[in-house]
Amino acid sequence: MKKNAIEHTRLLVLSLLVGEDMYGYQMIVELARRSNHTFDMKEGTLYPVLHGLEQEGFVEAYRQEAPSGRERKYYHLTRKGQGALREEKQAWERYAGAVNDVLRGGAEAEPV
Amino acid sequence: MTRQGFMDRVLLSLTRLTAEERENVRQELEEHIEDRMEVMLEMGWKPELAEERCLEAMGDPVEIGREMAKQYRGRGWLWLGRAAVLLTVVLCIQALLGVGILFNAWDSLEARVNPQMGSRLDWTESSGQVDLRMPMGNDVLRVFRVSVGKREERRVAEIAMCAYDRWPFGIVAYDWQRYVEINPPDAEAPYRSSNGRGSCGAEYVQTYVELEPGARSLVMAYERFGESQRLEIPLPEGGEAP
Repeated sequence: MKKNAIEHTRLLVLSLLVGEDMYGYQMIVELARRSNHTFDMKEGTLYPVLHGLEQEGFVEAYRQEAPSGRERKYYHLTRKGQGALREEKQAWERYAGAVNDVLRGGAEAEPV
Repeated sequence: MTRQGFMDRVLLSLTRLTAEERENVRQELEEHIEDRMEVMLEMGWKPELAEERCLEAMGDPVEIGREMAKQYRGRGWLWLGRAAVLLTVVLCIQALLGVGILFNAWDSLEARVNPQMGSRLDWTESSGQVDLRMPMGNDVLRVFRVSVGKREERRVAEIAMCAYDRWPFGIVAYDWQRYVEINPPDAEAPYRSSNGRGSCGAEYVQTYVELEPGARSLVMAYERFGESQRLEIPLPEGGEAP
């Protein structure tokens, strides 16, 4: 289950970086906003995920001044990362689809 | 737990990382806490309480450190892989050099057993295989054929010789020819040609010496580093002007 949580965090982080480079705290805020606070992860666990993606070449990091005026470590989705995102997204959709099928099947079988 | 204590616990597991990487991890987490605290202070939280809540929200520092360490775990293999590639390249170069050494050794062996070189005389009056050897420092100079004939309208002796190291895998001194003279030396520079034969293992040279009428032998002399060698080369029978 824990492994799944991390896998899903990877998928979420990769999709957050589509179209915009972000730093860690910004990602946490954005994730909470987009998921309506459903993903209440421990914030520190984001960083091992980011560093893992960086080691794999899915994201690149660079330091740049944030709107607050302070320098922050920004992450950028690489071409390789875009490919990984496509694959992970498809895998997730298959999984979610299968769960939905099971749930629908279960609901239909219930006596009215 | 203080912020410092939190950082220390995170960094505890990160022994595989370089000092710079550890510092980057620490800085990034510090910045995260700083950003979050700033928002909470703006909302009116007391600093101590805000920090406490921030650290809570970060999660278990030991767990974060362990997960972070896992991300860098494959690098031992990465370096091992790079070292293996480098080693392979070095070995390939060594092997290629080794092939060169084998060719040298083969040439060196051939010079000892069966030296060959085509004559370049325009017309041969007489010729004979000989085996005259002269030590020359670490090398040996071997005269293996002496011919008399015409070359470029002059009556000359053609001395075919080869030089090789005493040791079969050794290489011959590249400038040995500078220390060898053949008498009677030509008044002008003696005609020399290296004919493009040979390697570091053995070098073949044919020298042409213009002959005085009635000459019966030549003397080859080597002089270097206080070492003097002398070799008499008899001219083949019938070496008279036609």
